[in-house]
Amino acid sequence: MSEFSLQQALNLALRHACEDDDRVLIFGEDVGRLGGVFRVTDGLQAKFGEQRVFDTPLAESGIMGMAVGLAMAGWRPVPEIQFDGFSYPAVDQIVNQVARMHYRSRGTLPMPITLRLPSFGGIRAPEHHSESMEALFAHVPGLKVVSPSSPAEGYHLLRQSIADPDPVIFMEPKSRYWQRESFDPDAPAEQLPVGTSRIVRPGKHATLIAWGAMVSRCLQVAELAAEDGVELEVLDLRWLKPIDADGLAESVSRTRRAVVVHEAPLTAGLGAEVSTVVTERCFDTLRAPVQRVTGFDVPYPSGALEDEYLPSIDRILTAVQTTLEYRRG
Amino acid sequence: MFATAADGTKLWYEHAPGPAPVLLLHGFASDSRRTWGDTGWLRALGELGYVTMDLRGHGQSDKPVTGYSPDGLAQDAIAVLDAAGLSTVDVVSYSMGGIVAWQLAKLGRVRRMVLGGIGSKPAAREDLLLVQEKLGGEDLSACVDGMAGSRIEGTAPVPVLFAAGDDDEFAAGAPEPFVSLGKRHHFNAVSSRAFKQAALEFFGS
Amino acid sequence: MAEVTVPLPDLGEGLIGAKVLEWLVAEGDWVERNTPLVEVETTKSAVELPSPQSGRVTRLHVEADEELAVGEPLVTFTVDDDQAGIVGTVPAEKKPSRRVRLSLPED
Repeated sequence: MSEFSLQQALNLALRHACEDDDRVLIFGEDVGRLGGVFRVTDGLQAKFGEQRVFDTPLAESGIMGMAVGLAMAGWRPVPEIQFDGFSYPAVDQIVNQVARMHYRSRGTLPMPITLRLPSFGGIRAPEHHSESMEALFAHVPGLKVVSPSSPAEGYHLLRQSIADPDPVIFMEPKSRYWQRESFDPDAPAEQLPVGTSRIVRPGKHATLIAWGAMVSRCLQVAELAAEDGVELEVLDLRWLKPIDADGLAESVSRTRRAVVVHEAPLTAGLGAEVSTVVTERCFDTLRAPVQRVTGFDVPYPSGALEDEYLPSIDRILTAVQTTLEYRRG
Repeated sequence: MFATAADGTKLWYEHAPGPAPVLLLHGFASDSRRTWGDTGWLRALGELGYVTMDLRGHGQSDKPVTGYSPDGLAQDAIAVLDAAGLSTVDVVSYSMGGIVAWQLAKLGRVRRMVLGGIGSKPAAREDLLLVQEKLGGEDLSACVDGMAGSRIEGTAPVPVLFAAGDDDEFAAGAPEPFVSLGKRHHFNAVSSRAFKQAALEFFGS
Repeated sequence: MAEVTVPLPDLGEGLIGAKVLEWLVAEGDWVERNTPLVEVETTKSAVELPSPQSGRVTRLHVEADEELAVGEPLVTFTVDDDQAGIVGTVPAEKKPSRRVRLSLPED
């Protein structure tokens, strides 16, 4: 067992992926000489050379276009787009090429690309640096979308994403980069299949459903709720596409109440999908409508207002209380 | 959180429990966040614990048109101490808060107090208006009417320490024992490290 | 090791700059996150700024009594590599607090 921050855990996952598979290539803005603005690729260029770990121009569409070409030629590209908001110029390549090539070529040209995308808010960053794009990518057929909530999850999910034959959008919760956790990366991974969620705290009165940085926020909420005698289950969704309908149904059919929490704006956010899946599968057992606690339908605000925008402990508790009090009319 | 004064006024306060909580009383036309939060006082008090409140008419507290006298504001502080479950406390005040602290001490709820930015001269109406112009904010004429002419009077009922910047004309003639906060004026002395250290040493003794 | 430069943050209330009253750290000091860094004076009040991160102070960009605008460099730290981030700040670990309390329904 060693202690790792999420940054270090991701760095280790990239290191091991490069060691295990000569086809893995890492590239993006500042990932080589600098080692990444969040140090996730620190030391990798020195270890694996400039052929396998290299800096690109500031051109996100070009980064993803290059990934497509490299994948066609048999490589396993692991590009980084430095910040969520910078990936909008690359959406054309991602949607029109990365997601479709496998289908278009009748399965002859797989796209084993893992796009590392530092995502979400919480670090007082300027505009374009705090986007939550999971619903946008999850909506595109052909993409898988995943977000780790902890260093151990980060390590295993990144290894799993790189090994996966399909394109994966890997959303790193940047506010958790400095979170530390002890785990053994060499231990036979408690590997769950792609598309599986994980219950990170069991409970019986309601299920909190979250991913990325909101998982730790929900764990704080569950801790406080326990003081009030309310036992909340916390479900880390992990894979946002494919979504774990069975896992959601298993939990909510026991707790009979559900609150989904995400940083992205409310309207057409992934919470709507989660709510629908839960309602479709648990309609008869639900004691209350699924509640959503989310960001607001406005562009992500400046750092000074960030805490007002992100789902707060009190907003989540209020939603839980709403489900507890609900009575059928 | 809110405590309720005798006349129903809602008084905003925050209580961080600790072994020896310090009550913090801000000055005219300011509030607890600006006087004690932004200036690092809450950090400096560390493990001692604290109670910080917005005086009526200020910050997040209600803004009634009556109740602004040294005794009225001290009764408000008592309502807050009662809500927080504290009998006697050490007090740090700034500017007009010192008049409230002095009265609160007379009422038996203070162990020791450190009064910053205040001297022995009465709070002059024109000085209060000057402060309001400088700090801005809502209409405080009821508070001006209630507090103008008030001052700290008589011998200190409990151990006291005064502190002010050398260029603080409002605190001219502060009595002993006195700690100089160096070349500071009335509006930039409250954050001074010397002020915090003096208070912590005074309470530690 | 990496260098991180911290600019004067937005102090709210529409303030666009501040004057340094007193540095509470010196070049060469090791500073923990959230410990007092500098006192600055605005047109309205004095404010103590806590350090947004841990690190060794390598440069104070302004002297006492000098003014600077929001966004201009205030202090440069040398930090461990895993502490460095070029954009944004490392979130502070706060003890969770709440106002809302829950009550279970009777059935």
